[in-house]
Amino acid sequence: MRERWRFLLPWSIALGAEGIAVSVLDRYGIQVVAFGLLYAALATSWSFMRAAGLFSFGQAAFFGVGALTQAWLVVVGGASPWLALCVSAAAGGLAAVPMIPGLRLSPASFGLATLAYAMFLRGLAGNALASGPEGFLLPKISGFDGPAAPVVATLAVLVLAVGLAYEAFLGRPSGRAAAALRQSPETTISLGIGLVSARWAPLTLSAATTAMAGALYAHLVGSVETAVVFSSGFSVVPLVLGMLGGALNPLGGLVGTLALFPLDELLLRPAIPQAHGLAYGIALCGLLLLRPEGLLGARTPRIPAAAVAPRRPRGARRLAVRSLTVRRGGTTVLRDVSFEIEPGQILRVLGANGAGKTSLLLAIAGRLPAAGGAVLLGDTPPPRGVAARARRGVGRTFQAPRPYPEWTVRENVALAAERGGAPGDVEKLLDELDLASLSDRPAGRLSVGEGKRLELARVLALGSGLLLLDEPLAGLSPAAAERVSGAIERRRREGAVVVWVEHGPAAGDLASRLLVLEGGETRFFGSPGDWDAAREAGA
Amino acid sequence: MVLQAVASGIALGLVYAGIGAGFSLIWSTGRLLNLAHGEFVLAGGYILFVLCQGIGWPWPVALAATVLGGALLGAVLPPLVRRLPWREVDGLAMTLGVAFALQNLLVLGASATYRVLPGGTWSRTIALGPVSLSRVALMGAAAAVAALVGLDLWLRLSWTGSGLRAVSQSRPAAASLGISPARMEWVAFLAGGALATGAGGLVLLTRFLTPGEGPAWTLVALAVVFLSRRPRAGALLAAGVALGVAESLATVIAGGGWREIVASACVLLWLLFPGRTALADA
Repeated sequence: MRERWRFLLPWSIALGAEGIAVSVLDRYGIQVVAFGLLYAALATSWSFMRAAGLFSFGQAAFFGVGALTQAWLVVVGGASPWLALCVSAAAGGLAAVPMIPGLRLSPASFGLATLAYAMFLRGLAGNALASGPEGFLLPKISGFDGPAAPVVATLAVLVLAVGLAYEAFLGRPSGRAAAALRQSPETTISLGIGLVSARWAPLTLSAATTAMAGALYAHLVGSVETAVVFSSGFSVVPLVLGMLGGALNPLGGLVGTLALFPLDELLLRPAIPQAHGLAYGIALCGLLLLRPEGLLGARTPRIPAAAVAPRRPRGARRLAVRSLTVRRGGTTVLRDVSFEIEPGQILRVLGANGAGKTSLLLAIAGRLPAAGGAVLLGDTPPPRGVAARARRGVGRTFQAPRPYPEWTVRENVALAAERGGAPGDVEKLLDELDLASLSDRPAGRLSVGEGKRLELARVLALGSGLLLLDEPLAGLSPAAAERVSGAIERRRREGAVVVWVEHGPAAGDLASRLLVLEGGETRFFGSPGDWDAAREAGA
Repeated sequence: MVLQAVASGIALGLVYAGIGAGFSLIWSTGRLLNLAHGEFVLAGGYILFVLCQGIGWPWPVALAATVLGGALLGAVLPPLVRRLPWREVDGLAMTLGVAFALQNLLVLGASATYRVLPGGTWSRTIALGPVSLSRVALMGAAAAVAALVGLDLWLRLSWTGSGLRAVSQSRPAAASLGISPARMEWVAFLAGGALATGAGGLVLLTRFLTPGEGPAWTLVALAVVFLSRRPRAGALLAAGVALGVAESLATVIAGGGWREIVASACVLLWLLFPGRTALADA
């Protein structure tokens, strides 16, 4: 409750102050307030997308779509501005659809895609649409003529609505999934969270609200020029204001606007009307150098302590690999590899560096596609993709730890437990792996050995029936290695299937089956005893 | 008409290759996708305009001075990006800030008026079979090819070039051999800035300039780099020519406004095509 008030209070003060200002100001003053609200809405919308690890350099695409749709519906279609506003928001959301394939990209590549998209739509709107580059002149409509009360009030509601939606998003599992993706995409996918499913909502909402701001801009200015509404200013200014306030904070857009917009509007624009945007360019550079987290800093969603970890592995079924061939970058890294292991068995995978051990794990996890052969869980092929397989009980650890650095050790494990969705106890799991004393430490500050134990705790919390472990003992002290081995052995006894890549002897002691790879091909598959016998015979 | 468009596209595309080469050099060595590259191109055009129109220098001399000016412009970036912890994205945002600041400075200094060099003996056309091109377009294309071939030879044969190539592949490995990544980064930024402004000067010789065009030139650079796939002179020239010809044909078929759609569509398709690994993901 207190958290909610802490969030609502600044909004109430800021919007209340704007309301009072509107009641005492002249038309120019009200126009300034209206543009302030417009940019606050745009900046908060931009930040909303940032929460999902997306970086947009082309918000002008959605702004332009909203402004043009509104103008076209009102001018050509004779529609009511309110109806047009709803349609414009929907058009903005629809305009985000072509960007959905880009949700799989890195933040930088996605940013480039948005930049190109804004330019593409600008060109298309200027040439293909009936409006041409000249655009539309909006008719005078009562209540929608310039900075009229309904426009300003709607902008204020929009600012509040986007902020509240952002706040609500952070408190939901989807918000936590988005925050997880932002910190460590590979780890998040291995927990069964898909890039597209976790990111499409922030993208669409951000696009729709940006389009709505564009629609209101059309009435505020009274005209829509294609080159103006798709111009880089409507991409850069929201980005600067959002980053200035704190992109990873629902209040960031509002605070950034309050900090910089009045300075621009009251001092710079009158002094250098043609080039007042200079301030935003300089502010962005200075901000990145001096305070990249913004004035408010990040507000990372916390993982609820009530989330629980599973007690028994789920989805434990026989793993069969049949004639598996895998290629990476044109090189065959696995050729015709076959084996089967039953629930309750540990397969140790042995081989020199480059033998194909990690490639085997990646292929089973769904990270590398099979060029030939098949992976079967039970008697059926698992779904394609890491996230889909993780949801079917395929869990993996990384050779080099990849924790969520902003979250504590407990929160790292609790997120996995939340995604696993089975009953259990996070604290018990932390105890089992000797992580209880570190549970409140941010995972970004763990040593390599501690990170390794957290890797295993996370995959155990997910409750996977098939555990793909990439050197879980490397770099651990003997005592820590014993704890980790004990935890794995307990899961085996509970029925999990374990594929364990390890150079040291511990895995061999526990393994019921052994696969020896050499140059990507099977040199031996059988019991460890048979392997020892074969080696002795060979020697 | 189509043949003429193809010929014009080839000449323009060779200059595009020069724009892409500067972008590629800064990306491969400095791991920075320079969103201010288009503004660097524009700055080159404006420097050349001032030197030719304001001072009255002949354009070949002015072009040499423009290239030097571009190197100074490139020197702005290393101090700004050196301390960024997450260069892939923060570097993009930083260069976006530089681009926006430069765009506004260009408006302040040169106003939004379209700038074009008046024609003279250099604008006379030369007939090449069924097509004709202006002397200046041919000279521009030849200068771009010479710059790219020179760059390629420099990267392959010189001591500094091998250092740049080593840093572009692995900074720690290069450092362990005594090659300073920071110094190589400086070299790449200076050379990249020089290539961009030089190409901007060549652009001004054949068409008009206006300060708002920066993002469109950045997209041209991105499209050339994506299409070329390899930072080699031959690949960049082929990509530049492909883009130039596609733009020219689009202009002939659909009208002048479709030019920028071609470059942005190339970048979009490259990034959004399923299974494609983008530059920044590599």
